Order: sequence, then structure tokens, then C-alpha cells
Amino acid sequence: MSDTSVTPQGAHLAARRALWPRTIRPWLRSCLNRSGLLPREGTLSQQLEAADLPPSITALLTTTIKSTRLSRREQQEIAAELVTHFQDGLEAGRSEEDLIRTFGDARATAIMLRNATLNKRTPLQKFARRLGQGILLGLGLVIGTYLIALLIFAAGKPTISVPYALNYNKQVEAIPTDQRAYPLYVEVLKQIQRPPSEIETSPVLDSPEKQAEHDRQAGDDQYFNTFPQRANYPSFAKARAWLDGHSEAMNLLHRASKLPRAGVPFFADKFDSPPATTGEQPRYFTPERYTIATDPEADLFGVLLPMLVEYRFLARCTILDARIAIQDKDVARGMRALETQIGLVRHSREDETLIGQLVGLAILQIHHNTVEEVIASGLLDDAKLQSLLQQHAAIAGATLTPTFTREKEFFNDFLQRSYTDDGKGGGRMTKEGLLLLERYSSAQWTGGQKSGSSLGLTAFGPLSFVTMAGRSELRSKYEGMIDEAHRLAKLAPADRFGSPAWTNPFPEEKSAMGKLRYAPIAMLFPALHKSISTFDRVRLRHEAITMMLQIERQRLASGAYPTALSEMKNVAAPVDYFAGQPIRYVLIDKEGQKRPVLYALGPDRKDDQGRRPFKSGLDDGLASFKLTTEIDWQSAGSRAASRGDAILVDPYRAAGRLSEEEAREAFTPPATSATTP
Amino acid sequence: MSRLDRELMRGAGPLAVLKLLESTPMYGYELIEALDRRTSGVLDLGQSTLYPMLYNLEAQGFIEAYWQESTQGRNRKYYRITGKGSERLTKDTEQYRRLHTALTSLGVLELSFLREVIPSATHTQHEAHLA
Repeated sequence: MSDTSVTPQGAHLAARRALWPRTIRPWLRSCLNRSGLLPREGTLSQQLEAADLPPSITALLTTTIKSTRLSRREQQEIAAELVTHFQDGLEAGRSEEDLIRTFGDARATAIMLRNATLNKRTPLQKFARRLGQGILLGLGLVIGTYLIALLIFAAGKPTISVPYALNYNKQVEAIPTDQRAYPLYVEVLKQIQRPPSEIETSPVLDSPEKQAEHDRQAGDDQYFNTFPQRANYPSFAKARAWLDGHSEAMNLLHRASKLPRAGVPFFADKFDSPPATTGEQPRYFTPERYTIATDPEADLFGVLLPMLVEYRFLARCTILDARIAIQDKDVARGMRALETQIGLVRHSREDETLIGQLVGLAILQIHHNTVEEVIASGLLDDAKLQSLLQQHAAIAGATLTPTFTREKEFFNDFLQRSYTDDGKGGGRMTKEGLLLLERYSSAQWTGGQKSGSSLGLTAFGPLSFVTMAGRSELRSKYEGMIDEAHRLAKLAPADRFGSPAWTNPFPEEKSAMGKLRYAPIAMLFPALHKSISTFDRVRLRHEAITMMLQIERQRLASGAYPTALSEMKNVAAPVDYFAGQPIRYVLIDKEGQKRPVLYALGPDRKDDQGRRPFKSGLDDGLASFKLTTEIDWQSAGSRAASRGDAILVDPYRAAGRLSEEEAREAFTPPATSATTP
Repeated sequence: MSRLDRELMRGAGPLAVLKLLESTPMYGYELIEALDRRTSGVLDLGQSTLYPMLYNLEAQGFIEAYWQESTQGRNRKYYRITGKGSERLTKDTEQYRRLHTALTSLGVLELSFLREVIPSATHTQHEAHLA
């Protein structure tokens, strides 16, 4: 049947097919022939054909010579000699049958010819041949081994023996209802809508330039820093009206924060769905958005802790609550705000995740700032101060001591989902593990859905056997690093700074091979050392705040602030861990107002009489929200890093708001500073 | 006359080839013909044996090959003995002589044996060979 329906595409394909045999293939063959990579079968045939021997002899020679599997040049030389041999025989009158018979078996002859010809080769040729054979053998071994490894890799499956997330959720679900705050928090969050944007984002500094600089420095934390309104801010009245509209929710929040347990479960999936919005601001947590992890397959590393964001939001509501209480001289409301903050600190760290503990510290710093303002207002009587002291003492031990047990669980959960289990703690990487690592490294959590090319990962998977540490080694290394960090956390900071374990906790990460060998650790090890420093700072601040509560009690009892800490009875000042001495106290007299200030000398160990380092562009009230914005405590090794002291507690300053000029005038360090040896 | 066993041929073949090449260069077919003719078929080496043997002797440096146009106008590969080959020939000949003497003294070899092996030779030639 004639093809009359050739499409333009079909004609094009036909042309391409014709191009190959007519043009490209001959050219390719020619190149390969010239390079000697391709045996010249045609040339041998032509050579034998040109000899004009009987076909049976030609066939015998062809078979024999090809069977030698020698080089093209060697085959041609043998062919030339054998051709003359048969020609001589025929010329001598012998029959072709006789010549073929006396020639012997073609294959056996080929073997003898081959062996003899190989013997004739020069040492260099022999070496090259051996080398080639060695390379081929080596390649074969490598490929064979790799294929075997590929089979082993493909067959390896992780075994999930401990459902960490499920176990945790079973524990929280077992908490008696009357002791569990989570349902109440859910109710609070349903009732408290996010504040209008004009309250959340209204300028808090007295010039657009300062505001812009503040926003730039605050970065992602801008939202957290700008919401709490001070009484002298333009939109305070609106903020107050907004919070007063949620009085029932704030009472419920106080009730929730007083309960023994938070009981917030670990959530899973739906992470990719956009946050729900109420009004103009996103609502990070809504029960509808998240699913409680009830599946044994739930990945501990992928659990979601959306409540932590909401704890911070609720804590900022309590700042506003406290400021309203100060304005109204409402003692009960002020205490309620402070107690709520303490409860939020306790609950946010309850899951013992590192991030939960750090959020707890952040809320504790909110509490410290609020306490400063409350002390300056003189709102609290001695009984309330004592109550606050007792509550501080109750949370001090657990809250201010880091625990990394959950971090170990996170890693062990990763290991059981990534490695095979030989029952003795060992195991090898699996395709599932590489997929997990890929997902962690891509920072695109897909809520448990598989992503990436599993075929590609499988192909390269066997490399992990030689490049990456095994399960037991990884676990041992990771837990060793965690334990070391825990040991360092118990040391005084001054004893810790400069030690190799502190400055270089993961030396293997410095080399590419080390990073590859411990890739899961390099990717998943948390920033423990930075966290430990945060614990140090907040612990010292907490001790100083507690000290200031005692000083305030002294003032209430005697009518005046002590002039020196030595006047305090039965109260030991916390230690400035840079100076290794008790923290300093100064009573600043400014325009007839006595201002008690507790401070540490900081990394430079110079006593600047309680003057803080001035940082242009930042309002002091906001700067005190984070100690890190005032002084770089991390750079303890550099004594030139600081000017001035690290102010721990300065209630009157925290309560007020100084202009940039006032701050510059008041806190410029004096020409000569007292130095502590 | 039947050909020698493979083991005996393995030792005698190279010696015979070297001996033939001692007097003049020869090509493969010529060597086969000469061996067959001059040993009455006892050392009739087939091509499958001769050419590998030649290559091995060449590899050992006892002979060397070269191409040359013959009188018929055909290019042929000729073999000639080298100095090393000559030394080897002398040494092997001596060893065979001693072997022959030993076997003769044991009564394994006699003149009649030679007559049987090489019937066309004269008595004088046999005597000379044994000497």
C-alpha cells in the first residue's frame, strides 16, 4: 500500500533517519577506525578477498584470525603470512582440502597464534595490556559491587519502632480535663481576634526615620515589638478599648495559665495551607487548620507547634493589660497580667522542645520588662511582691535550665525513619532517609507527602554506605554533642568561653568530607550554643529582677531605696558571670528622682556606673526588650566590644521614654571609668 | 613414518627449525616442506604448530622475521636465526647429543633405530650423526 499520507513531521523524521546511515554513521566509523578504537573488520576481509584464495580457505582464515582477538595490526600480519602459506601450497600442487586438513582446528590454532603473538609483544605493550585488563577488571568489580550495593540499598527499609509523636499526644490526652489548659486556650483564641492594624502597626517612635530604623533592625520581630502600646502612644486609647472588649477572654486566659498543664498536642499536616485570617491579620493557630498527630507514622521532626506563636501574642496582650492596670492603679488586674505571663512561660516550655523553651524565655523577658514597669509604678504592695517572688522562685529552676532530651528524640526519630535497624543499634541509610534529608534541606515541608526524585536518590543511594556514617555512629556522635552541650550549659559562662568544645563544637563540619559523613547532624543539629547563651542572659536578668523585687520591698518597708546592696538583709546578689563578682547596684539621682539600677559589667569588665551603651536610632524602651540589642554578650572574648554596662534592671527608665537627645546626654560614658580587676 | 608425540615434538621442533635456519633464511611453507622432506615426515609440523612456534622463537629472540619479495613477485615473511639463536642451537644440540649417548649406552637407541627412523640415509651418515 502506497503511503500517500506522509505528514510534514513524517517526512522530517524520514530525512533524519536517512541522514544517519548515509552521513553520520560512516563518518563516525571513519573516526573510530582512524583512532584504532574500532576493529577494521572490513580491512581484513578485503585483505583475504584480495588474496584470491578458494572460499573454503578464506573462510578458514577468517575464522581463525578473528578468533585470535588480537589487535588489528597483528591480525593483518598473521593474515598476510598465512595467505602466502596457502598460496605456496596451492602453487605446489596441493589440494585445498589437503591444505585445510593439515592446517588443523581453527579455534585451537587461533589460541596458539594468540598466545605466541602475545609473547612477541614488547614489555610496554604487555604492560599496557595488563593495565587495560586491570582497569576493566577494576571497573567490573566496581560496577558489580555497586550493583550489589544498589540491591542492598533498595532492599533496606526503615522500621519505626517508637511512635514518638503519638506517644506524646497520648500523654497529653491523658491529662485530666480540669488540669489541662489547652481547651481553654483554644476558646481564648476563638474569642480574641487580632487587633486592628492601626494598633498593631502604628508608629511608636517619635520620628519616621527612627521608626524606619527600628523596623529595619527588628526584622521579623517587628510585629512582636510594635504591638504593645504605651500610655503615651497616640493610639493607646484605641488599644485599650480593643483589649477591654476582650475582658472575658483575658479572664479565661488567666484561668488557663494557672492550670498545672498546658496539654497542647503535637500537630501534623495541613502545613501548606495558608493561615486563616481574621480581619487583616493572620491567625497562626486555629484548631481547624491543624490535625492532631494520631498516626504512628507521624514524623516528630515534622510536628507543628503553632501554639508557640499564639503564646507570644497572648503574652503581648498581657503587657497592654498591665499598662492599663498601671494607668488605672488596678492592682488585681496588674497581678493578673503578671501571673498570666508566668503561666504562659510555664506552658510554652512544657513540650520540652528547644523552640518551646526559647519561646518560654522570650515570654519571660516580656514578664521581666512588665515587672520593671509595675515596680516603677509602685502598684504592688508587700504582699503582692512576696507573692510574685514566690512565683518567680517556682519557675526559676526548670525554666532557666535547658533540657535537650526532646532534641535527642527528634534525632532518634529521624534515624528510625531513615536507617535500617539491625537490632543492635546499627543500620544503613535508606531511600526514605535520603528523601527526608532532601525535604529538610529544601525547607519546603510538604506535610508528610513524598517529594523529589526517588529514582535518582536510589541510584546514588549506595554512595551513602561509604560516605555517610552508620546509624550507631551518627546516634553516638549526635548524643555526644548534645551531652557535651548540656555539660557546657552547667558551667559558668566565663569557664565556658574560649574552650574548644564551646568555640568549635562540631569540628568535623569544617571539612567537606566530615560534613558529608555527618550530613544529618550538620543539617539537624540545633543551635544549642546560642541557646545556652540566651539561657545565661535570661537567667541573670531573672535573678536581677528578683533582686529588684526585694529592693522594692525594702523601699516599702523603710520608705527609701537602699544606697548599697550591703544594706539588704538575707539577700544575696546574683553573680555577674563576666566579672565573677556580685552584680552592681547604683542609685541614680536625676532631678530629685531616685532611680535604682542593677547592672553587670559586661564583657569589658569595666564599671561605667550603670550607664548603658548608647545606640543611636533605638528608643530605649524598645531596646530593653532584648538584651541583645543593647550589648553583644556573645562577643565576650572581645573586651572592646562594649562601652558602658549591661543594664539588667532599670524600672524607671523602662517605664518612661527618653528622647534620643536625653539618652545621649544621660548615658554617654564618663571620661574615666572605674575598672574592676 | 608417523609423527612424533606432542611432548617430544615440543622439544625437538624448535631445535629442528633453528637447525634449518642456521644455513639459510626460510619462510613458513618452505620450513614445513623441508622438515617433512628431510625427516621423512617424523617432524612434519602442521601450520597450526609451526607458526605459533615461529612466533615464540621470535619472541625469545632466537630468530627474527622480515618481509621480502620472492622471485615469484610475492611478498613473503622470511625467518633467520640470530646470534642468540645460534648459541641456543649449539647448546641444545650438545644436550641432545648427550641424551642420545646416554640412551644408546642404556641400549634404548641403536644404529638400527636410526636406520629405521631415517632409512634413506647411508650408514656413513648414520655414524656421523651419532658421532
